[in-house]
Order: sequence, then structure tokens, then C-alpha cells
Amino acid sequence: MGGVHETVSKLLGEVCGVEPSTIAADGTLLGYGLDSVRAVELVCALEESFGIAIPDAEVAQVRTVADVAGLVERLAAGANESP
Amino acid sequence: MTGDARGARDLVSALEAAARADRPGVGLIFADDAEAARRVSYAELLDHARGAAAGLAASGVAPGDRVAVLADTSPELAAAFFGLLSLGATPSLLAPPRGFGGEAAFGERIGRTVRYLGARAVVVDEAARSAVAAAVGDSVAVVGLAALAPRAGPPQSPPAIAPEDVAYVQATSGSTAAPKGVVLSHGAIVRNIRQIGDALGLGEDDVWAGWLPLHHDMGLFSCLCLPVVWNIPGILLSPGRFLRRPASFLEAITRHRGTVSPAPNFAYAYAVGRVTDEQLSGLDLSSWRLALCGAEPIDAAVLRAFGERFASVGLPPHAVTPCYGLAEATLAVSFHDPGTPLLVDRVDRDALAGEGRVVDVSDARPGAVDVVSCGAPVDGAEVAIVDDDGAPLPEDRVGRVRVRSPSLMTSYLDLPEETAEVMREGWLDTGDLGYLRDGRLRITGRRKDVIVIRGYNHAPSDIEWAAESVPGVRRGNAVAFGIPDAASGTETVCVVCETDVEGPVDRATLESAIRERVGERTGLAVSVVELVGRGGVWKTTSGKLRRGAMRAAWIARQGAPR
Repeated sequence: MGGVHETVSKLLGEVCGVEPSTIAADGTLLGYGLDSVRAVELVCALEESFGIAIPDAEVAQVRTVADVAGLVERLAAGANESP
Repeated sequence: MTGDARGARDLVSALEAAARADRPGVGLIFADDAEAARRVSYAELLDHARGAAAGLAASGVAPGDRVAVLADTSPELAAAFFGLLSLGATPSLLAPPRGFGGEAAFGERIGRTVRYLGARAVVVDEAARSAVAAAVGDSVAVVGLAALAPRAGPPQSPPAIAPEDVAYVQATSGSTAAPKGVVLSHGAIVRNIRQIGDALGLGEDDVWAGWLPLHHDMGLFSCLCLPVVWNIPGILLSPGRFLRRPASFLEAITRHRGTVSPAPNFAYAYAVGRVTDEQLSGLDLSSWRLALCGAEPIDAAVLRAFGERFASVGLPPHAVTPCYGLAEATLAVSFHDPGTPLLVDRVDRDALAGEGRVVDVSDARPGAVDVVSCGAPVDGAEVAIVDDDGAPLPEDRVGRVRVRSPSLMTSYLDLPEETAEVMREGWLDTGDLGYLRDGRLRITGRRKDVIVIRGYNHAPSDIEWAAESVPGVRRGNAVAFGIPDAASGTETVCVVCETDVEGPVDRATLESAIRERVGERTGLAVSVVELVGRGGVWKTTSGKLRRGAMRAAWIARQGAPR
């Protein structure tokens, strides 16, 4: 799953109006301006890009850009395993 | 006539009357899943509410207790709400944790609010349970919603409810440090719901539709309580459903022939920007006679764009209906005349802001600002515009907006000073500024230091407190205010901080640290951080932050309206 960070940064940047190259893995989502409504937009964009479904309960515990990438990788792996 | 519920003097009798009338096909429809909508007749809702009341009583909730409720929109939440009321307890619906990092920002806020409410118990859905349990500690019972409903309850004799009994505490202002709750009586709520329906000319063929969160006054009283009191169908979607896919809501209106729906300004901009042409083709909005717009500043351009975008799928020409209200008046104070074109005054900005005078200008003139009429007060309500000394002002003069109405709050919960500041001789000082023209209200700004984002009020003090906790920011020298953002149709947060930090790299680092800290502590996104030198944050001679003046100056510099 190379490039997950890049894709997450690109989507986060689009939602928050931030230049993707300035987004760091350890940066917090709230720090980049991801409030609750933008969070919904990001979830939709991630689901579409990666072909996954992100449960709300998972979202509440995610803090940083790296957390998002980790969540996406985990869900994408799970999606591939299921028939 | 739609049944006898409107004659009810409290919310429980209203539900009982609607249940007795049991109009065929009339009740609540929870339509998040379009193909498998959950329908609950008012007779069933009453049964489930009684069941929930029995379950709550078994959990130790007694008449008079305050109970916080944190859950997403669902039939179980509706049953718990009416169950608490029928038990004689006082519910307060609060925002459940959501969004990325929601739990981190959530704990302190919810803990303080629950303590302020003096809540005996907290009712949660499964999604909110762990975060809430961690936040409130062991002293408050945490009751799972799933354990309460839906199930039929044994017949019981609920306590008699008088119209002036406390029904509800609406948490408002969003401040972590100083939560504020609006105490509402059954009578105030039912009277306001009757005022709203009369103003809109509601009849038995109307179908209410909404996706607003039920912890917001507009969601709770208009989307859940109003259909019960008027005994008409209520279509409910969760806010998450609308935000993920706004077309879902328009499809629900199409499918269930919705006629009236409320939302803040931002939602109309949101829908225009996100409903695709392909989604549009399946819609028929011809039943939607009233798209109410309130709870935050109204942008005429947004409403016009909405009307134009959806006219091709049958949205009636003058469906968009601005209104004005606030939690301290239960919900609604005034409505634009239904079915008539928007009333928009194009006036001189400098005369309006500088002298409080309304000077009409021609279309072509620069420096003009559009002000949307929010209409005439509802039946039984009065609006007065007064100067700083409380003397009445004539029409076309900007002043403090005061309201008198049988729907006003009893008080702020346990805050006698704050209550006395806004309630005098039966009049409520709304904290908003505006003027009257032909007896119709225009809102032009506000005196109170709140930031209104998507219909929610936020206290600037929380943001300032977070910002000044960042090393490099001069303590006590951070100021936060809301600035209008035309693109998103709502306000965004601007923080101005004094600092001695120099050099572009260090200042950029400081800026991001401020954004991050404010985001973590408040859940709010900061759109602008401005670093200034000593004296750059304005204060009064007694050292109070001059937020309003700084906001006005900032906006004037950008040339933005209001």
C-alpha cells in the first residue's frame, strides 16, 4: 500500500484547503482544520478513493494523519481478505 | 384541524392526544435507510416512551431529576426523550462525540456539562457509551439506550404536569469553562410550537422533514416535537446522513412528500455545492412549500442560489423562508411571510455599521450590503429595537433586538446573574443587533461575543484559553471571533495572538501550534491565525478584550459584508 500517506495528505489538503506537501504524518487532523463537518467529507473521500467503509466508531479515536493512514491500511487489508 | 394535540398544554399530553387520534399513516419516519425506513406511529411512540420511562425509573431516575442524553437520531432516542418527560424528569440532549479525534476533544466538555446540569443519569447509545462513561466518572449512572426501547411499557400513572413545570434544559453556547443551560417549561415549548405552526399555516396535509441534530433546539423542537404536537408526519434523517450525502435528504422529501423543513444557512450552501446533476434528475421537490432558514446569519445569495438550483426539480418559487429565533425563546421568534418573495434590503454598509442608520442604495453602488428580512413576529410575540439605554428606536434604526413572547425561557440554569442580564420586565435581550422595517425584523450583527458556526453558538473564551496556553503566545492576549465565509455559508474562527516571537519559521511553527491546540481543545477549525506585536490585541481600560471591535475592524479590512 505505497503512497497511502500521499493520498491521505492530498484528500485532507483538498478538504481543509491546505497544501498537501506541508502535511506531516504526525500532524493532528484538528490542527489542519478538520472539524466535524470536514471530517465527514474526508471520510467520504477516503471511502471512495480506497474502496473501503469506515465505521463511525473508528473515526472518533483517530488523531493524526498517520493514524488515518494506518486505519485505511487496516480496513483495506480487511476488505481484501473478505470474499 | 389535525387532531386534538394542539390543545395540549404539555408535551406528554400532546403525545397522548396524537396517540389517541392515531391518524392512519401518521407518525415519525426515520429514513436514514431509504429502503428500510423505520416508521413509528404516535401510539407506538407513546408505548415505547412508557416502556423507556419504566426502564429509566428502574435505573433510579426519579421525577425532577435532570438526565443528559447523548445519542444519534433514532426511534429509541425519541422514546427516551418522551419517556423522561412522562416520568417528570428533565432531559438535556447533548452532542455525542463524533468526527476524527472526537473522543479526545470530547471528555472535558461533556464532563463539565454533565456536572453543571447536576445530571442524575446519562442515557447513551452504544456509539457514545465508552467515551461518555470515561468522561462522567462513577458518580453518574450511565444507561444504555438499547436497554430502554423499543418495548411496550406497563400502564402507569405519570405525575401530573403543569404548563409551567420545567420540561427541558437546552445546553447552549458550547463553552467548556462556563456551560450555560436554557430552562424551558412545557408551556413555553408547546406555545412556541403552536406559534410556529400558525405562522406557517400548517394543516393536516403537511409533512415535516428534517435532518438537524436533536441536541440542537431547531432539531429537537421543530423536527421531533412539532410533528407530535401538530399530529402530522415527521421525517427524520440523522445529521451524518445529510452531511455525507445531502441528496439523501432531498430524496426523502421526494419520497415522503415533505412540505416543511428547517436548516441553517450553511446547509443550503452545502446542498447547492454537493448535489450532483445526476442526483438532481431523480428528485421531485414540488411538495416542499417551506424551506426554513434560521439559526445563523442569512446570506441572500446563498438562498437565491438554492432556489435556482432546485427550481428545475419542482422546488416552488418562494419556498425559501428566512426566520429568526434563539434558544432563550425556545426556538422561533419571527418568520418571513410564507410563499412570498424574499425581502432583501440593499443598504449602505458604512451608515449601517458606523451610525446604525439604514440607508437604501442603488444596485450599482459599491459598499452596499444585502440584509434579509426575517419577517414579522409570530402570534403573541413582540420585537422591540432599543438603544443602549433601553429607549425604543424607530424603524430603520439599528439597535438591540428585544423579544417578548410566551415562549421565553424560565431562566438560565443556576445562573441568576446571567439571567438578570438578559431578562428584564418580561423582555429578553437577544444580544443581536437589528432593525425593523414594516414591522419585519432584520438582523445586522450582534453584541454578544459568540461565534456562530453552522447554527451552533461557540464561546470565544474557550478558543482564547486554548490559544494562550501555547508557549510563545502572551498570556491573556489572545482574542477569538467569528468571520463570515461566503463560500461555506457560515462563520469561521479567527484568532489574533500577541507574541514576541520573531522570524518567519518560528512564527509559522507558532501558528500551526495554535491551530492544533485550539482544534484539540474545542473541536473547532481555525481558519485565520494572526500574530501581532504587543498592543495588537485591543482591550478596554479595565482590561477586557474588545472582541466586537476587533471583529469589525478585521472584517472592514477584508471588505467582507457585516
